Amino acid sequence: MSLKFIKEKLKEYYLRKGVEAPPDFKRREFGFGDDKKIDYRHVSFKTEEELNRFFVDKAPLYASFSTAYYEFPSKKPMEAKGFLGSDLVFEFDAECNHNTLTCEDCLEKTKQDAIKLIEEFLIPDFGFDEKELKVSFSGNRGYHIYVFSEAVRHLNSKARREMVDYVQGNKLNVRYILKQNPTPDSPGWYGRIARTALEIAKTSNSKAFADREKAVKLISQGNYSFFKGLEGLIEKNVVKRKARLAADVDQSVTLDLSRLIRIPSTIHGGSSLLCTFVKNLDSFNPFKHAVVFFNPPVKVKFLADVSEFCLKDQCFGPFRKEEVKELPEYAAMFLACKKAVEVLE
Amino acid sequence: MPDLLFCAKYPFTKEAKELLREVKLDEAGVLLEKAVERVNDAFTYSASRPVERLKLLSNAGDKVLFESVVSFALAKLLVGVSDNRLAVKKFAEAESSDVYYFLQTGSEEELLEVSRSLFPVESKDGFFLVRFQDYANNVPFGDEFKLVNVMLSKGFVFLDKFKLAKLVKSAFYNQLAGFSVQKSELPESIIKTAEELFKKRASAVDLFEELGPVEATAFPPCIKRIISRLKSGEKVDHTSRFVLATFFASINMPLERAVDFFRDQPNFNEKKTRYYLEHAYGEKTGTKYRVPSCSKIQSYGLCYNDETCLWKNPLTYYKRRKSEKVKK
Repeated sequence: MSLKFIKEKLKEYYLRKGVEAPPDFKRREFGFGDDKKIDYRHVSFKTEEELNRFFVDKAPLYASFSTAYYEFPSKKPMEAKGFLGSDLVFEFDAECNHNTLTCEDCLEKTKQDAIKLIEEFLIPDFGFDEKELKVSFSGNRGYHIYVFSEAVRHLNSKARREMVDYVQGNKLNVRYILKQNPTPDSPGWYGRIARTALEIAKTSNSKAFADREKAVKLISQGNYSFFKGLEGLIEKNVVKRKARLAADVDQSVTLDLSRLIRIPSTIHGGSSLLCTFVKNLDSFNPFKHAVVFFNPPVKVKFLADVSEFCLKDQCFGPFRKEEVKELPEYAAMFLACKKAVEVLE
Repeated sequence: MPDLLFCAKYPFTKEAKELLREVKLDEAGVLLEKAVERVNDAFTYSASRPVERLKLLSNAGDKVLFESVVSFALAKLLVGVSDNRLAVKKFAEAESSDVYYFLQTGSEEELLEVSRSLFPVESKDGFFLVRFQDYANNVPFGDEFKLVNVMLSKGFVFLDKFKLAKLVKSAFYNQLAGFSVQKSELPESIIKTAEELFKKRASAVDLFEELGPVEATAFPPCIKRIISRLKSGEKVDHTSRFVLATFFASINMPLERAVDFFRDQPNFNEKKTRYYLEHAYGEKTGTKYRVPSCSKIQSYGLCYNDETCLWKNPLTYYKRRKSEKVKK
């Protein structure tokens, strides 16, 4: 009953709102699923109408598209597709162990990570224009950052590995960088390391900074040889602060050139929330802005205990297993997609 | 008149290619022998080769310099049509090492000119600025070359002379390593020469067919890395486990021993692991899974290749390294 209800609602939604075809969609591979994220793939569309008809027809719970462009996107196996290039995508997924279906704190943290990647790495270090970057809420637990730029389409997988290592600060060789005499206003990791050094020079009680004023001045000039063992001390502190300095991306999405990821403007069948490009990331709240269904009451029976959760500024629950309740359609959809209720009518 | 010495040293530059436009492939037959020599040379490369070559070229007349440019172009075709990965890599390594040596002994202007035939370079405040994507696609081997350890600002990496020369080497290497040409595009004489050349080569490096007992020291770096991750108790993703399982199946590692590798996993379940391995070994379905190719492993983000990786498939790596060890 629940699956039928979900599919009906998805159909209605796609009829009402339609799906926005991703840029250059004719060259991309699509994959869909109801049970799993991908039950079948190697699908391609020639027109936006065809794509929309598909969604109204099949109303898949999960819909993904390739970050890669192909000459023949529907051919099998992968080698036959004729790889033409791939967008650059970063993923941040909330790691939430809290006992709630709508963990605003965890998603907010994930959002802040995404903002950090953009503001501290992609724009200043990699030189991308804000216009080339798009952020989407994945519809469930995370955010995707797309770089739609000709400059990145032909990055090979080794290059993408380098980029991931860069933003995560992997294999960072602090001692080597200190030998290049970075100053606090140096760009990229050079500046990050110098600023960390400056910070500890101002606050640490180490012997290295006995003459604090002089130490601060020397570090500001990129001099790290005034105290034996200073480099090791800085290295230790950079490593300790790595989590704060680096961006914690989920690397597999960036590295996998044949990855399929959720299509913005479609509904995530594991949550009923809309996967959508986000214009104003600062004020975006997925449990408010990605809720797209309506208010008419729907009768449901709980399949498990559910603690309190909030959608669209309204809070529900807690509920006990076996309890039968009438809830607004959007809340019923959310719970049904989470497999927490059975829809009764 | 083009600078022939420059063209002979850097046969991939625009100037050198310009020179080659005048040459007709089927008339270059007499130089094929020189090209064959050049390919064979790559297999016995020694550090003194670029030193000697530079001496030779610096004292050579126009004819010899010109022939050197042509023999490079022909050698590249011989290797490119061969489909012989080892030859491609050896040739790329030898030629790019020569270029790296020439660049180190040449002037800064020369370095800049040569670099610019491969990617755009700006010179600013004593640094060479290269677009990050050109750098990232060709990152040279070594810790200090990793993108995270070079200065990156507004999309450009800041390189000194030494690093730029290394980048040129690496970009030239990649260009050669990625080059292939169809037989239909070549005259008969070149195809024949290539076939003969590599027939000899193939029999010289005898393939080690029987895998025999497992030799763990011959495992490729990607496999060693997955094993060390498993051993450290890190929760290892499905793809990595798949790669390892198929690799073990391919080298006939006894299933009992294969199971042991997964024991340190936090969610280790012997029954499931065994079931899963039996599948990979083809004991369930009769179809043994093949270990993914290097390019697939690369696309999974699991490739940690180093200078020992000369082949297209981890299994070939293992076979060759093992046979080398046995011979020793």
